[in-house]
Amino acid sequence: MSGPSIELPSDDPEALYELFERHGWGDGLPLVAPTAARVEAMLAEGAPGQDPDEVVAVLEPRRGLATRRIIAVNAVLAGCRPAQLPVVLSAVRALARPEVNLRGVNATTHPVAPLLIVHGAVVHGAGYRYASGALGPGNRANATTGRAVRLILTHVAGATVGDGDASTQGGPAKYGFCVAEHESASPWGGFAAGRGVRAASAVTVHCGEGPHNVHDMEHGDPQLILDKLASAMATLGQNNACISQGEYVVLLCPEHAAAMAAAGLDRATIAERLWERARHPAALLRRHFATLAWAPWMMAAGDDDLLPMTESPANILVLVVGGAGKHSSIVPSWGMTRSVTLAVEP
Amino acid sequence: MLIYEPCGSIAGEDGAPRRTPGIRPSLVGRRLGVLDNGKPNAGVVLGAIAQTLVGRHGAVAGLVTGKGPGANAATAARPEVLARLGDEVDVTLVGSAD
Repeated sequence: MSGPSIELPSDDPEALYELFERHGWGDGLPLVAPTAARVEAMLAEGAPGQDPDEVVAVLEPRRGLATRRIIAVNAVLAGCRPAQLPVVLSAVRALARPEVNLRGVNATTHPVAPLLIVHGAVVHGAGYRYASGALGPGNRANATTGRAVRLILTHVAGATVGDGDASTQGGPAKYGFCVAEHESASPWGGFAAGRGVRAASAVTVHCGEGPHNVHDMEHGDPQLILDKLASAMATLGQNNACISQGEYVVLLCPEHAAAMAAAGLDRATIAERLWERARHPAALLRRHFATLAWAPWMMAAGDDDLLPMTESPANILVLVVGGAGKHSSIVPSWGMTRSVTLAVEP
Repeated sequence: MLIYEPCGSIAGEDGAPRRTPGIRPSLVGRRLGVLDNGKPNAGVVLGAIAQTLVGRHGAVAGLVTGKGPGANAATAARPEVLARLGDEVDVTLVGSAD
């Protein structure tokens, strides 16, 4: 073995399960044993020709050294196939970017979890689900990629519940929160290319809440869909209400996206309309929050002014996910974090 | 069955393996600092703990500070604040979360 190892008393899956429980590792679910053979196969197929001991990222708050090998160990534990390893590696690189503020994301009392959005050729190559049920459950690539990232945050970054992760209630998205973009159903092309990442495959990380559902089955009127999306964006308990740099990810189902496109709305226009609609009087927001991290122009607003839930339409990220039906969703931000889109690379 | 350990190594600021600080046997005479994390009432709670440690365990009250300009509850303390704490106190009380 090319790293610290542990001798299990038996090959019984229970032995691994109990070891992890005893150390406070894992996510509470059964795991796949990271034997040398499995880890070497993961690296050989998932990152061929790459240095397994190169540090891909340093992860806060533990300042854990995320090498390809330790990432592969956790990918094996989660049940990933090797084709998913480049996505996991790239998501880890993205999470280590300073604008993500991973120390805060991991340590906060908020239930924030990284939403991973997979784009491009790897969606089909590794079998990610982008249509019906894309947010889960039931698809191995989505489930285990999200899970692998959570295990890496727990083990390598030190986001262990109670000390490295102080989340008051936790949340189901912390088990794994990975979805693929339904690019062929997008009227506006791929999301990653729209952000300037022109790679065959890409991954976006957005650290926020679990998805808030928005249904509109009756009308198909884009204005009414926008009203509903905006109302989901404007609940007072979100961090976006007091932190104006916070982003929103808007996951439009294909039918809602088609209705908007038929009305001539593109991504930027949808974001602008949501920004105009998702607002509250400044006085209401000030009454609810003693501490406000707002842009200066928002701080200067009068009490009767209607203030947006985020300081710029550019903070509203629109993409297409899902299958038949008329349910979209909103993923509000934790606030003191920015999303990152990177090319998928081993 | 032999398996890989899942956590890997950690790094210090210089990339070298981090060492655990030695455990102090006593707080008597130790300079005690407080780093307020900016959450509501953090300063109140940490200040009360500091007073207790001074009164009961012989620590000496030292620097009480916030995280510095531009920092807030969700971000790390400014490097100059950490440097000042390193220079001026032996023990710092900090709070994670609320």
